[in-house]
Amino acid sequence: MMGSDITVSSTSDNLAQVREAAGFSPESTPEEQAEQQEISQARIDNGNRSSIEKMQLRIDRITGQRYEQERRAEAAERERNELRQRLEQMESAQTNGHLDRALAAEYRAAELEERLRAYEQYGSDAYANAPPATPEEQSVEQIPAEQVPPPPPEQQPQQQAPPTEEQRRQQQRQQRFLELLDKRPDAEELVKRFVSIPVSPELERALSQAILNTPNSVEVAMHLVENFDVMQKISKLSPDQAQWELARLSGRLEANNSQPRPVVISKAPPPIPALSGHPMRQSLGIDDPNISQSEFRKIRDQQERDWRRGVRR
Amino acid sequence: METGKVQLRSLYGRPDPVYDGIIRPLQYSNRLLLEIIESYRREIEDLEERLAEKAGE
Repeated sequence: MMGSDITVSSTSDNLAQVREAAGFSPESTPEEQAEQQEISQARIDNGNRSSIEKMQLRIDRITGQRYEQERRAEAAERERNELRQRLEQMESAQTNGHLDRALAAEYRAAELEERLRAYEQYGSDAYANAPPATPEEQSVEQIPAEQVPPPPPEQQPQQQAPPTEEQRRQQQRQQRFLELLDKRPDAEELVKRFVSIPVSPELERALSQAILNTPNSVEVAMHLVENFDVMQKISKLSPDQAQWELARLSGRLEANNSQPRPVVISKAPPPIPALSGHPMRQSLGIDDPNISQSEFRKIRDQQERDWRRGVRR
Repeated sequence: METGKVQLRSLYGRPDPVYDGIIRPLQYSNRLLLEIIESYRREIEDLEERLAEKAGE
């Protein structure tokens, strides 16, 4: 038999089993071991792994992607929260700014009105009775020191007089208005909407005066803040018309909120009671069409009895 | 002597515990995470625009 190469190959048995099947010892030669290692390396390089190994790799890859996406989502959430917070801070600062400006304007209008009243009441000597000018007013009305006559010594304490009754009342009203507004859950929106209505300075002065002159100024102011359309309508009127409109609104609100008219109870003695006794029953005649048969019979029997006795009616 | 195996796996609709029990849920959660990230991205863009507007005011 000529020597020939026997090729024994298997895709399921290992090298030792193949050698035994070919009649060799199970230990492989160094050349075979080197070749085996080379094949294993080539399989790894070509991705020819077992299915479990491939599955594991795939799971690892997807899990890695998931961790990465979780990190990205957390970072995005943090960034989103930070931006939201900044926006909220900015919006609240703006709203508070509007509110502060509105309150300052209202307070300033009340103050000016008070001073005007003092001037009207005391004429040209009224500056002594007028409330002191605010710092900003002093800065606007800068007068050189040499032109300002020194005030009489007896007028000094009057210039720093405590707030008048009217001013205290106005401050109380403003405080009440703010408390009412604070109770509203949508206060910020209302104020934002209110200050967005364009109003000319003349109209604003007229409105402030009119509101402060009304006895129910808090309710009127609250009504204007709550009803955007009413305020918008007023903002298009002239100052005089707006004052009349506010007066009408004040009257309407006062009528709605006023107590019901008390019922006047007369102090006169109670009326005499109705007469008691048996009701008088008028006897029916025989010619009455509504007479019943029994009554007719009774009358006829009586007539017959009377006739027998010789009684004539 | 075996010459090789062909794994048909879920091609015949047979459930595969590894694929259907591990890989597919993982892929599903990854898709959800991607959607969440996308929604965050849109919201961040919107917030950045609003912040720029406020800063402009």
